[in-house]
Amino acid sequence: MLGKLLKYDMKSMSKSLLPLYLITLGMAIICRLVLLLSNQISIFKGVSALVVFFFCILLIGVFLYTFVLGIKRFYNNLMKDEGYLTHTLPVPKYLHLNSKIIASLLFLVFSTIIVILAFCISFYYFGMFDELMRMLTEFSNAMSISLPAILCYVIITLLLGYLSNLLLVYVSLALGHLQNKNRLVFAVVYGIVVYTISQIVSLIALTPCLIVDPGLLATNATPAKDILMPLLGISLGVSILLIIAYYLITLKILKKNLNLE
Amino acid sequence: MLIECKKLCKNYGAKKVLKNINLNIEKGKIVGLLGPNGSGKTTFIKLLNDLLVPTSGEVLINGKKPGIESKKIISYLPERTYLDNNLKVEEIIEFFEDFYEDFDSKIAFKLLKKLKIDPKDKLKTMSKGTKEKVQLILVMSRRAELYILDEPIGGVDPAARDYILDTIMENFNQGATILISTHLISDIERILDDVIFIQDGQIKEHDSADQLRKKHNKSIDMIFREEFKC
Repeated sequence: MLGKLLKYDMKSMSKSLLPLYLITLGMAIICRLVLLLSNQISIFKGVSALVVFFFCILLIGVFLYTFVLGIKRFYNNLMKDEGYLTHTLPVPKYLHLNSKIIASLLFLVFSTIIVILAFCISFYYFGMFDELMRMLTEFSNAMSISLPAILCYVIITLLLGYLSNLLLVYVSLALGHLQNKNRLVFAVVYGIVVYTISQIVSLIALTPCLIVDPGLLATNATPAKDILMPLLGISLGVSILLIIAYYLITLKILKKNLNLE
Repeated sequence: MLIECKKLCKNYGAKKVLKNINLNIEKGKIVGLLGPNGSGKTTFIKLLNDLLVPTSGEVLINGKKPGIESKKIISYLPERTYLDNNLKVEEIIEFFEDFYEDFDSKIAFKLLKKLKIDPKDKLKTMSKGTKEKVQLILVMSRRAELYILDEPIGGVDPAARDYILDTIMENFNQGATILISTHLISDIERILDDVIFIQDGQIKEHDSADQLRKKHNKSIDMIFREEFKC
């Protein structure tokens, strides 16, 4: 059943995202052409800065839109009128939630690929990847952490961060749903409350790391990884715990407190 | 028994919407759930469909609490338009085929053809009345054991009401139970076997339509008008 749910969630989101991907790639080609022309025709120099600026905004917009679409699909499909059909399908409630989360994460991956591709189309130059590798290797040496480990950390942190924010909005919408009126207004209020609580929890969890050895941060001799690794580990642990808490609260509301208008 | 309610109560905060409902509905009957606006009809239907959880008491479908098994045998038409407007009718039919084993797409296409609705049309290009007809076609194209229809004729013009009732009568799975909620009694009276009168969250009367007519010496419509006079 998860496969079937995923099929329709992906289909629905792709209707909005595929055109955006095409526009992004089209803009990348235009950006490249403008940059090429700006080297030869002086009038294009001023224009190129503007085009690059809007292109960068578009790249950020792709991520924002992917995030918003994941929320819109959750809200419309589970909490608005479409919920009358969704919740009466012979499917366990947790699969609905899982499907929305997986679809959002898959589109995050697709959006990332499109953004990297668009970036390369616009700004690629011979030796760019060699330079990037050299910078990463230097960073890896400075941190005394292997390059694959750094990349792994970055990817996991980004994915968990995205998931944590996505589920924070889900849980806020679900909490807002407990009210009989002004549900979206209450969802925003609950969002602020939940976010504040999550920040306090993170701060409390990270504090012991800095208190145990206050001189840790000031000591030049201490390898960077000895400072960063515990902080990253705790930070990831807190993210995972928050994700689990958001997920369980959302699921509980969908199961026991659903009240479609 | 197909539906059993034992001391069923539902509150929204301090407001008691359903009060201690005890009710049994047999298999193979067409049952009218009749009551004025705000009497608790939709809340009762939502409880049957697992869209709400009882505050106390219980509701059983085929002896089990509402859940995945009951959803397999219930074909539910809510009073709302619940389909994604961006989908084509044929895509929605594929959706129903994917999730309901008892869905018969041949019936759906036949009914669409009869109504001259193009399966390639998107829902957002349709009028509200046409969308409601598409929903009814989808619901009636299932070989379900229980059809729950919440105000199926509430939003359509009188001329379309007969079409809707005929569609229900011609296409429901023989031997199945139909529970129809409405306040437009005169339009559906002719098809009812049993009648449940509900008011202020309580069952006022539950009997066969013939018995009620005999007892009050009036049509169901007239009984309703007198019982629920403002």
